[in-house]
This record gives sequence, structure tokens and C-alpha cells, in this order.
Amino acid sequence: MIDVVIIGIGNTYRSDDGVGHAAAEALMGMVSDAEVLLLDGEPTRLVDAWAGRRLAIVLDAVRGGDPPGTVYRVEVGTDPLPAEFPHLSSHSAGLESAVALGRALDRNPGGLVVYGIEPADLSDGHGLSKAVELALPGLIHQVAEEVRSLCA
Amino acid sequence: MTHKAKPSRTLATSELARVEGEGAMRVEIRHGRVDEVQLNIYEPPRFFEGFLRGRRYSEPPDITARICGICPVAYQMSACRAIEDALGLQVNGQLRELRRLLYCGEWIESHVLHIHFLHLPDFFGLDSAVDLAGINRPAVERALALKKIGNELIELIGGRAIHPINVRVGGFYKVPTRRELVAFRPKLEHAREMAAEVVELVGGLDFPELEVEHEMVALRHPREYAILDGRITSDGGLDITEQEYPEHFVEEHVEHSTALHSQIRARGTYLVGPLARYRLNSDRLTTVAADAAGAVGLTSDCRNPFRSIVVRAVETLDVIEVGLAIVDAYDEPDRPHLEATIGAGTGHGATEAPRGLLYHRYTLSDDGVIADAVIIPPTSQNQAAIEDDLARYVQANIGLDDEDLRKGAEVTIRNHDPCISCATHFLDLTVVRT
Repeated sequence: MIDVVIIGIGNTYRSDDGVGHAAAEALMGMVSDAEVLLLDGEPTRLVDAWAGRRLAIVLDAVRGGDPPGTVYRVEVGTDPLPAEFPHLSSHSAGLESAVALGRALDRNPGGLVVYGIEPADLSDGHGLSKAVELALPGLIHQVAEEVRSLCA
Repeated sequence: MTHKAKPSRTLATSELARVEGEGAMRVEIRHGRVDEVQLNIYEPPRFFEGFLRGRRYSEPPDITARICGICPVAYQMSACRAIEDALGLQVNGQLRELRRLLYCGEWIESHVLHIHFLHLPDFFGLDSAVDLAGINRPAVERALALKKIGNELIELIGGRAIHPINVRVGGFYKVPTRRELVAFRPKLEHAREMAAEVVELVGGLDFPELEVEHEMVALRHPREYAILDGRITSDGGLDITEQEYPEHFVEEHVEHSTALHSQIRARGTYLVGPLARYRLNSDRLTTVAADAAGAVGLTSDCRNPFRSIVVRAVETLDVIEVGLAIVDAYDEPDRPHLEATIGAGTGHGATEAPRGLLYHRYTLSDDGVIADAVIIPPTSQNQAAIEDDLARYVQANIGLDDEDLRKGAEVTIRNHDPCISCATHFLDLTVVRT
């Protein structure tokens, strides 16, 4: 098994929520040292995708309040569950559920990094906003470099 | 979509915003009586209906698969069957069997997810499957293993698990070899063992007393526990073809809500999904599934939505048994798909998505371009029934504080397995008491 996995999550019919898939698709041809997957963010699929890996890099639209197109990089420790994750009772679906489930079943990766882009538009629609489109190459480059430096 | 709040690096996913609209419920109580319940749990796929207009007849299977990450196959199958109906194309024989097998994979995946990760924690008073793993880790491990087999079955036939890419109008782009299907058999056998254990587990739960009175609607097939096709029937005597759907179902206002609801014309609220299917089709189950249902006392007159967890488990076992039979009888078809002759027409397609009847209708112009598209998913058909259950629940528990009321309301909704993001802990409850 390739021990690095890059997972693009999101919905390509919700405008900028498709950025995770767009970035992952671009990375498919660029990084030979990592497996690249496109998922919808459903927790058990995330757990299946990253179980046993040395590193999982998750790509998603991330809303942090900075201008659209801002790239975020967040390292998520997996054991114990990071204090910054909200308690599961308020959000059972998604990334933090996957981390909690992986932890309960000893199926989290050695490291988990979330890369995201601040979206401008999450309404129904196909295609990225200008701001996100412009920032996408930078995100792709940053992820590719991180994988290359890790696998060098 | 993930939220990152400042200044700490907090992440919180907004799965609700991503896929299915907002999870909000508003209750108005006047003089101690529930006056209005409004639930926003599902955004009908209006965007997709508009997006499809002007596109080629060949595009809906791929595009509508994106509506739901959990049941893409259901959208593909209803879309294909509706377009084939418009074009006068009949997909039978081994191509039909492969479609059923693909659909079996989706039922396994979706049902196992709902049973263990959404519904079962409620029966133990737990918040999530993570907590469930704390008290019964083998059950959660088994669920992941079983769900994965469903996933792999979708990959085998559909080419990809999340949004299968191998489905097209008329059949498939590529069909599996007999050797490939036979090689999958041991996994299905293992799945059958695990599914039988799941029936035992959920059959032994304690079920709160609750009976719903809604008319129950499901497909019925002459020989099979209907998934892919059949007549649209109900326990109120409805028995129509898919083509007659628009004559019998209509969107109307209902008493306690301001939202439009799908209704049976001149009759009212109805329920689709596992309870309805089981009520109408339990005589079509495989022997293995029928015996397992009998052993845990599940009878065809069941109207308790809490027991839908048992129906899902029995249905999971049934589709695995059906899948094994399809694998055993598989004979690779000469052609992966039938060619359509393009022409103008309107077609209807209804199949049983894991959470109930999913109806599509397409009108094509003579050059094969989509002039009109209508998609009616199970969750929007169940909206009135769910609101009705909620109104009863709130009325019966009117003295509870808002937080306890919210928890109880979530359980009431989860019984009906609305789309994934809505079925988790989601509800933004507003109670107005005057």
C-alpha cells in the first residue's frame, strides 16, 4: 500500500465546494508517491481511505473568514483527539466524525493534514469562482511539494 | 466544505450546507397545542432539474448521480429507466441482472450505514457510532466490513464507488466477466454471515411503542422484492404503472406546514421506504431473509418506524442473497448496452432507493435534448409523513424543555432515514410558545 494518501472531498455541484476534487484531480498526474482519491466526506469512507497510512492529506473548501482564495494548512493530530475539534454531538458527519471514529477503532493515519481554500460561493452550480480558480495552482503546488519532500 | 473558525484553529464540517440543505425545524405551540410544524430537511433537487434541461439524453445518469453521495446508483437507475422509457428501450436479461446487482451493493452500503452509524446509537441513548464502538466495538467493526463489501460490489459493476461511471442509458460501458463475479462470491458469502448477525442484533432491541397510520407506497414486482422496477402500489389499494405517477401524486399544502408536500391525490400523506416495502412485499423475500425476519418476530403488519431498523437489516440480508443468485446465474452478455433510437417522447422511471421510491421523468425533443426533467426523491415524498410524526411527538411531549424536545425530534426523523447529513445530530429547533 502506498503510505501517503491525498483525499479530495466536496461536491462539484456546489460551486467552490468542488475545489477539493479539482485539486485532487490535478494532483493525480503530478505525485507518483501518493494515492489520490475523490470522496464526498462521508466519515466511514474517509476512515477506510486513510486507515494504515503514514500520512493523509485532505483537500476541501475551508471557511475561516479570510478573503476568498486564501489557502489554509492545518495539521490535525489524531491521538488524542485534538481539543480544537468540536464535540461530536454537534457534528456527526464529516471530518471530525471520521477522526473520532478512526481513533475509536485504531484506524487513523500516522499524520493528518487538511489543506483548504476559502470559498467565495457555495451555491448550487458547477464550476469554481474566479478567486478560487486563481488560488488553485498555489494549493496544488504546495501539496505536491509537501508530498515530494516527504517522499524524497 | 469545512469551517475554520478564528482565532483558534477549529474545524467543523458543514455537511448540511454541502449536500442537502438546512436541517431546521420550527414548531409553533398555541395554548398548549401544536399549531404548526415546519421541517427543512431536504432541498429537492430543483437545481439539477434546471441544469439538465438542454442537455443530451445520455447525461442524466452521470449528472444525477451527484445529487446524493450515499445513493448515486438509485439516481442513475431511475434516470436510465425514465430515459429508456422515453426512447422505447427495454433493458432485460443479464443487463437487467447486473443493474440489480449494482443496486444490491448500494442497498448494503446505505442500509449498513444507517443502521449502525445513525439509528442504532439512538437505541442505546448514545450520541454516535463512536460511542457505540465504546460499548460494542465488534458491531461497529462488522458494520465497516459489511459496508466495505457493498462498496466493492458497486466498484466492481459501477467502476467507481462514489459516483459510478460505468452506467449508461441502455446498460453499461463495460460488463464484468463471469470470472470477476465468481471471484467476488466469497465476499458476498462473508457478507451474508455478517448480515444475519446484524438481523439478530437489531431484532433484539427494545422498541418504543409507536404506530404510524400513513398510507404506505412501494414498488411491487411479480417475483422479486422490488428494487429496480415494478408497479407502484400501496396498502390503500393503489396499483399503477410508473407512467401513471403524475396522475396520482401531487404537491399540495398540508394542514400543519407551510411547505408544499407530495400527496396521493385526494387521499393525502403517504410513506415510502423500508416499512412500506416490507408491508407490501414481505412475501417476495428470499427464504434466508424471510426466515431471519420470522426468527426476530418481524411481521408484515409492522407500522412502527422504530422497527424500520430491523427491516433494513432483513433487506440487507435479502439483497446479499439475491446478489449471490445473480452471480451464480451470470452469463456475460454479448453487448454491454443496447443502442437507443433517438426520438421525442416523455419517459418515467421509478426505482426503490434505499430510503424509498425515487421517481424521475424526462421529456426529450426529437434530437435527444432534454426539454423537461422532474426528480422526486423519497425524502421529499416522506416530508409530510415525517412532519406528521413530529407533530404527534411534540404534542405528546409538550412539557419537555427545548433541548430534550430537539433530541426526541431527531430520533423521530432518523426513523425514516432521510438523507445522510440530515439524519445525524443536526436539528436547529425553534419553538414558539404562545
